[in-house]
Amino acid sequence: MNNELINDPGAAIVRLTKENASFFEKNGFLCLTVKNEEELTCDRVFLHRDFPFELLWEYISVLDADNKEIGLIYNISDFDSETEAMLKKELERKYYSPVIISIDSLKERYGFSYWGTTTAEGRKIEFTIQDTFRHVNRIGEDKCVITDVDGNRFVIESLSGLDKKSYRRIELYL
Amino acid sequence: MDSKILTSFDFDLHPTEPYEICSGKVVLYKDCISLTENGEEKKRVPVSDIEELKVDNGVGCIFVSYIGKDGNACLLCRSSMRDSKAVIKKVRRINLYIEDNTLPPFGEDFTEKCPKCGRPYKDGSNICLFCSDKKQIVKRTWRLFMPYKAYVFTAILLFFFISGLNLLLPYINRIAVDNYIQPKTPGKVDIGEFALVMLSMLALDLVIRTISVIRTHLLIAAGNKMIINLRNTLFDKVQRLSIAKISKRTAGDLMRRVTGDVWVLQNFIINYLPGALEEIAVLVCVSIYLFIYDWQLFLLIMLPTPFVVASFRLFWRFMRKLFHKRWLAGSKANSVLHDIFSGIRVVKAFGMEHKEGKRYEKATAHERYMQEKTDCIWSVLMPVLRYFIGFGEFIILFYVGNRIIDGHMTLGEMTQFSAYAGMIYGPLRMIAHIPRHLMEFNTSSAKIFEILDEKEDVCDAEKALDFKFKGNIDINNVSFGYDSGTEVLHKVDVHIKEGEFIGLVGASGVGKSTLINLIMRMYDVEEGSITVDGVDIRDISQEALRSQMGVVLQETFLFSGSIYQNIAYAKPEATRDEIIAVSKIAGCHDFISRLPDGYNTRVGERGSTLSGGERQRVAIARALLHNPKILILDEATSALDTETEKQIQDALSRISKKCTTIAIAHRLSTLRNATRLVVLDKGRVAEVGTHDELIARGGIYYGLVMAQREMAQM
Repeated sequence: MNNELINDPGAAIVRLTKENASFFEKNGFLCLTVKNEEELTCDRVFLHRDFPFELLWEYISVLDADNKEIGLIYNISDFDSETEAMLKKELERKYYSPVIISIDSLKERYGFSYWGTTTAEGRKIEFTIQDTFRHVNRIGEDKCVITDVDGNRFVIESLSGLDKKSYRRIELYL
Repeated sequence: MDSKILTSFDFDLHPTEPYEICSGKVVLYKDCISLTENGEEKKRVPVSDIEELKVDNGVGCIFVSYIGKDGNACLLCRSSMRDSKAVIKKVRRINLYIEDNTLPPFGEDFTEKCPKCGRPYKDGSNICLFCSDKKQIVKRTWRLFMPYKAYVFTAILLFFFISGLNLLLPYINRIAVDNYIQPKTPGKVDIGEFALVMLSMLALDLVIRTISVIRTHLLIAAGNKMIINLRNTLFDKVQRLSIAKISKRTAGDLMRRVTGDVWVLQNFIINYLPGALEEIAVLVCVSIYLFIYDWQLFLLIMLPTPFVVASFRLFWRFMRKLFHKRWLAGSKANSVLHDIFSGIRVVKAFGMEHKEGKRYEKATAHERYMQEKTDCIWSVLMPVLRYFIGFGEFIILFYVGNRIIDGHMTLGEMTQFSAYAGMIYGPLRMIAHIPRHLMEFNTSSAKIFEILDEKEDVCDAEKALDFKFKGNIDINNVSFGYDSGTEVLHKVDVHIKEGEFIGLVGASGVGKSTLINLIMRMYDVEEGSITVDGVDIRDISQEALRSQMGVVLQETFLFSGSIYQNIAYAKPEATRDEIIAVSKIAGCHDFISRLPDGYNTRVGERGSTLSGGERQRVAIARALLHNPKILILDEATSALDTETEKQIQDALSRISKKCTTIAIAHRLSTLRNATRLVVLDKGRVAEVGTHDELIARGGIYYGLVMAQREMAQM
């Protein structure tokens, strides 16, 4: 990494830690008070994963209502356990991606594929995909993210952990 | 409280618990908004306390919140994307109600799910591909053949006629064997008669082949006519669809429909169907004949049929998976190659040739592995399968041989039946492929019908007006939003007089381009209206409206062809003098006349041989050529240097006195000739006035001008 670049004023990032930031909830929203040179309180902030497929709890941008970055959380474990749980819940709430543990049926028809799945919570979910080439994305060797025609996201955390039948069904699209 | 429900929407996720499902409803009554979760009312907010509802996008879900009159926001509900479109539209309606206390009628049907299976329709379509009836699709395709039914029916009759004639050949063969090659009484063979039998076989074969040629010719003629007709209808339909509908599909997808899917139909109808019909006709005729002649033999021949069909189907299902994997591997290797070649300059500039070489090698290694695997399995399985199919023929030979030994059958009869058995097994092998071909045919047909059946949303009124307008534009309280949830324009009210030069100013994403798209009627407004000379643009024929508009967009698109053809695009009958005149005004004549091929210079695909500035100038000339009454310039001079831009602006200013001009520009000096400036902010009209008036006001425009001046001083 080029330290000169990192230290350049243009690359300056406000790092949010338990020392300068305190998160709290109000009216169902995540709020933030950040103390740097001045104290700033935002009634609603948005958490945004910078590497959503690789790092779920690290490199989290905190944005204000106008989508401007207030600061960056390098790791939510930088905060006390209560705040960490709050941040984790907020991220899981925003990134709603049920985890699929088995593919019970998969039917192709007229360029669409119709999936019947079971999630980690034991829920049966049916969804439809068009253009599996684009919407079934393998992330690394073992993870897979699926996006259906409505824009819902589903995650298979471990392809190798799927049962044989499920794997055989999805194999064609990997 | 008035308990009449004005509108409502459902949501399916717990607002705060990440993975908790709930069945919730937001209901708008006359005076309040109520929120229920799992049948229990959780919140009730008076409408008078709400400023607006807001939709925020999550990933895989959306959030709806309300902003109170006191400026405080509060989360209302969360929904998965399954019903997000309906939620977004309902939120917009509720916001209009909060503002005016009137609920606008539905502009569009919300049914985007199949009522039968609940699965979503594809964007813009109203056919459920899951529930669509296969027979219905075949019937509809058959109807496409109706204009050429004389050809088709003649061809089908000829199929059966040829099949009948085909039956005769083994019969004559039997006569030749039994009466002349191995006669019952040896030595008494009339060579002349034998030659006559052979000649008759030869003549019959000639007749069969001649009729086959006629039959194939008829079917190909009908198929080609139908396909060309279908392709043109499909192309016309795509052209008639609105930008909103077209932009839901990629150019590649539309290309696949017009060429790829039609090609599948063409291939099926012209190359596959004649052969399949012939085989089926032969199968039917031979089966009937055999059954009548010797039903026991017929049953023996048919005995391996289920095995033949089932084993071929199993084999194909297995092979299809392998072929698909091979195709996928090839496709990935191709896309790597495409990626590298498209960015070859970057690859070379960063010295990454070796790394990219490795990436391509890895992709091709996988492709090679898949190819070897498929070929190996194919080469092993196919002979095995053929051997087992041939097994049935050996059983028949054994049975027939025994009957010859017993004296119940002649050698001629044996050759006749062996030929018939071959005629049955051939079609049977082919029949195993029918489901696959039919599936491909049905898929492509359904995709074609999906486009043909698509509802046109921006279409001409029944008695659309076609008149020459002067260019007075009234934008009356227009609100508009795309599908993403945010309202892009809100109650925009602007009145433009004929001959005015209006500059649209504002930061990126405030709705400037959306507004000009609405004026061009690329989309229809959701609320309010746009009129030209007092006539609603929805009542003017689209051709009349757009033929009197000149448009230069930021992304200038030139068709492959010459510069001359591109400038004359909207007025092909333009004289050379006219072309040169507009080129002079647009500032492109000088550079064109310096090119070796002048106006005949070919611009390459998408105008790739010209620079960005040159393309823009050619596009301006194109827009000016058909003497528009309304000229729309969307960042039309952004790629030009200041000096050239000034020259063109001065020329445009002279021309714009004869027409109404609406221009968008981030570089504010571009708009120095504007009679009025309209400043948009967050989809609303923030300021309207001349340059001097707006500077004096010290508002948004003033801020923008000052920021640009600071930049210029640097």
